[in-house]
Amino acid sequence: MTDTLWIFIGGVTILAMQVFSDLRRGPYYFDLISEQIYQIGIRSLPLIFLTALSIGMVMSLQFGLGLEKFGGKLYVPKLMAATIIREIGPVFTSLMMAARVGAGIASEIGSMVVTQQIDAIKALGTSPIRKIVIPRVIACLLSIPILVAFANIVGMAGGLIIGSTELGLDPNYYLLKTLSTLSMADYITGFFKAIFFSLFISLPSCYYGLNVTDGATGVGTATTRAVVTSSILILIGDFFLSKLFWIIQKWG
Amino acid sequence: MIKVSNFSKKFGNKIVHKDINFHVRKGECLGLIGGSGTGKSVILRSIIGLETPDTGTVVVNDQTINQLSEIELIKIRQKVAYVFQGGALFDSLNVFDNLAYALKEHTSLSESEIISRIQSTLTQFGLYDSFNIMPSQLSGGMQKRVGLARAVIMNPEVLLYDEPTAGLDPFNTKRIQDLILRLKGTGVTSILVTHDMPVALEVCDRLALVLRGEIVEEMTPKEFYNSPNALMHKFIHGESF
Repeated sequence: MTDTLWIFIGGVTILAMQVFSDLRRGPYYFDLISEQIYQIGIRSLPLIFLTALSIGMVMSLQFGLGLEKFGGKLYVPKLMAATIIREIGPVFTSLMMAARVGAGIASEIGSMVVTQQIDAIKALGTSPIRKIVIPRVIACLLSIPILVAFANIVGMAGGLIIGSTELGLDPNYYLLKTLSTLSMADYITGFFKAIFFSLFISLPSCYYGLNVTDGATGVGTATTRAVVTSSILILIGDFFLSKLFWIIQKWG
Repeated sequence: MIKVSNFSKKFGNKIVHKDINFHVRKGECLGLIGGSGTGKSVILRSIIGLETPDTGTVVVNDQTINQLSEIELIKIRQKVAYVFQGGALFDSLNVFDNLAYALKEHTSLSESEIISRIQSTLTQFGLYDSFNIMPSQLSGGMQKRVGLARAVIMNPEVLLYDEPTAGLDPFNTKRIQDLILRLKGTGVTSILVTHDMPVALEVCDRLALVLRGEIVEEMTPKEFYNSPNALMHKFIHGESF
């Protein structure tokens, strides 16, 4: 178990170093990057829309029901805004992306390893890091923060729908309270979390994909490991990042 | 041209090669033969830097492959082509894009020049009408031919064939064999890993038998066929060693 952990940490660190070293040098495959942005970002929009909307609606309902007992229903917009922007938006979007994109990346690259396509990329004088890994990492870095922003808006819209229809809050009041609660620091915190979570998804998924052994079984194992590892990294990373931003805000 | 010296390799605790030594002269075709799992493909992969030997050296064109970085290997791989056993075609690209891959990457040819080079190569390989076909729609024999076409399109100096006729019917085997002979006629240096003895005897200038991590015999196909060595006899006639 400890060996596997160290091998993973070492492997992902080496992969990250190769990615950043190759990123400085080029060449850059913009067509591959745009294709991955479409696959990772645009094609995830319906999934993120549905999950963000339902989470926003459920949270608003739960907050409303809970706070109603203490006469605190009016605090629902404030609570919703802070929770979604700082935590729920980045974390849930990233977890959904880990499941959809992390699994996709690991299985696609894993299948390419099994069918010797990764070897063929090398044998034809090109680099799988530049051709396969970098486009996926960049696509995640560009798409996930935008998807998080989209999820934040949809989640808060879900909260607004429930707030106005079920909890009897005035929509204008809800909007006003939402906007007045949020500060620039909240947006920045959510944005930077999304950047880190993009790396937590793309790098382990590429690593597991590139290190597939044992054919089809190995592809399945790599896919499971990619999703589990990315999810754990997101959840543990969220705590440390929240703590870090909290310290930074206190200093500021 | 190619020199492999004191080559050893093990995977985990399994020793695949103990001490492999051979060389291939310019324009020559060496056949590496031996039972399944004797690590012939490992030797081939090491020549292009896809594997690294534990000890020993692999020299191609006076450059020690196992001492080069990935970036330095990229230059070597433009001159040394590898024909994969299953073709290893990029399944997200059609036949044209598979062949255009290296041309777009390493040459400054215009789009029209690339199209014309690919057209002429596909015609040579009997695939002139396969331009827009995806690899999944090709038969095994066609995939191998496209793989071979992709390998030769950059006019390599060295060609490494990894069981190019495995799993093919006699007609397609003959077709691949003729293509290899035609390429050999252009002066390309090559190494052929195969179990297909008729093809090896027909195509290769020399044959090397890999057994228990070593090359136990190296001779011309004629000497090989007439060898009094019991191992050779057993291998040709499919008997257990």
